[in-house]
Amino acid sequence: MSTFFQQVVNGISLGSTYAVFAMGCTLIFGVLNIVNMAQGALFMGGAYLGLEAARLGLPAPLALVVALLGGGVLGVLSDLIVFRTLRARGGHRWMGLVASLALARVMVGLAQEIFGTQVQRYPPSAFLSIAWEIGGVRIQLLQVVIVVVSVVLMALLAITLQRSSTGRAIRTVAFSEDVARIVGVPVGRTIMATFFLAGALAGAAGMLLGNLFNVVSPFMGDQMLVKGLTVIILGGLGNVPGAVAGGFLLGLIEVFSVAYVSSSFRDAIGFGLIFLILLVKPTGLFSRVEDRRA
Amino acid sequence: MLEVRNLRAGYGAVDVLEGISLSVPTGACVCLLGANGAGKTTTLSAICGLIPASSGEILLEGREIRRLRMETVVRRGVSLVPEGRRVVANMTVEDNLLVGAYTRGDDQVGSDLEAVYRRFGRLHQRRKQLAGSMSGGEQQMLAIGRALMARPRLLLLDEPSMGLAPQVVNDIFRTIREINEAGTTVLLVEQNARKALSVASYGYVLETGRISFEGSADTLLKSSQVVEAYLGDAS
Ligand SMILES: Nc1ncnc2c1ncn2[C@@H]1O[C@H](COP(=O)(O)OP(=O)(O)OP(=O)(O)O)[C@@H](O)[C@H]1O
Ligand SMILES: [Mg+2]
Repeated sequence: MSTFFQQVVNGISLGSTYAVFAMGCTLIFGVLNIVNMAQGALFMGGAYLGLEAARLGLPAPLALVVALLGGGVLGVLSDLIVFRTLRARGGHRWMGLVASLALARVMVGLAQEIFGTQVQRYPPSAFLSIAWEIGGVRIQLLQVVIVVVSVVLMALLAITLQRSSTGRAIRTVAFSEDVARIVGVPVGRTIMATFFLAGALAGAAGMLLGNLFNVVSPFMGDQMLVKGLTVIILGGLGNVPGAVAGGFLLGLIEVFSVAYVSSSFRDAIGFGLIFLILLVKPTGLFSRVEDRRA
Repeated sequence: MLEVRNLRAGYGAVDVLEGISLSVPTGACVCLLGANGAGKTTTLSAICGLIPASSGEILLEGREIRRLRMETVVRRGVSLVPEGRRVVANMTVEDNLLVGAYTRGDDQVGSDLEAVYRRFGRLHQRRKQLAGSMSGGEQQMLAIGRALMARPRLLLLDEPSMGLAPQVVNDIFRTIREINEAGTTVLLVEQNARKALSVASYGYVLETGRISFEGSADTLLKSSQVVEAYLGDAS
């Protein structure tokens, strides 16, 4: 029984990082309907930026801010370099896929050149490695911190989208760019703000997962992109609470399949189960009719 | 307030408007009549910068606005209530109203929201409801309220009575009259000519991209040409 609860603890801490990353994905892919294949590279970029900040001696909360802002800036750059250029020329979305894939490869290449291809690790922290044993279940302070940070980011995003003027502008652009123009919302700047939010979430998720596994590598974003996409389809495209729930679910499924089946089948079971869920609920776990774009 | 001279605009290479001129004096309510496809919506879209105008002048209080983007035009005091209302269906009534105030930086948005709620009690009752779940008349009120939230000096309305029950149409026209009487200049596009001419003091008739007739509301109501074409079976 303690194995079971141990997996719940591990699954929730892993799932919370997936949820943070997936929220960013659902903003871009679901809300704006833009296919940004560089989203995984932003995750990797955030992990490295946080790592470098930590190595420079910044305390962990500040390093997280660096990862967050750095991811946001990289997100804005991906909009400026790829998507704004394509919009100005009337390019269709599959061109964005190819162009952002190219951008992702450039970023991975740069990371290899700058940081090397070997796996890197965060400086050890005596504080974060504090752990408690409760009834045979081991809980690390690091896990607690990751979950708390994730929940705070979720709340911040929810407040931004629901209560701020920028959030209403984002939702209006998502509904219809023409309607946004009619009420005087600057469409280009609002899309850029969305890229910043999504990039910041990806960057933060990169640092969180980099700490959880204590592994940072130039290729860590590739797999993450696929997971992010899977999670947002599971949660219902463009549905932020759905992305959160989907992230936790995928984290739990992965951890349990490693513990009870085999680590070789972790991804097969994860993606397979999601496929089965989608067969039953094709529009995603949490989609409501009125959530869909008009 | 608004002077349009020799405006040409359209979609792609073809101009729908073949050089139209019209004028909306400050404080007035002017209507633009015309059959389906005459170019009424195109005129409003070109005025507010939603589509580019290929030539001509659009002067707002004497300043050229033809090349400005719509967000700038809104900031200069022009709001559009678009054809078909175009409320954000998956946002609440209140969020629709608040996004109408997006261009504003002042601290009176809250009191303007209260003012819109006073004007449209129904919107206040339904403020937490999704806009898409409201009736056509309620959505029209919301579209008007959203435009008012930008504090326009010139309000452009595109067929606000379209598809609404007669009682609701009366409410909408009464509201337009009240807004105009409170000092907002109005340019009203309508197919319901008789109703439009009951609030407007002056009218233009648009026929396939040209102004074919213009005059005071009384003149238009008496003109046999207008009566035959646009007032024939109107209530
Ligand atoms: N987005 C568009 N792309 C291409 N052509 C368009 C577009 N919108 C309108 N048109 C054409 O422009 C002409 C004028 O259309 P417009 O919508 O301005 O007419 P209208 O007077 O508003 O008509 P209605 O009373 O039906 O609303 C029509 O011939 C129409 O087919
Ligand atoms: Mg029209």
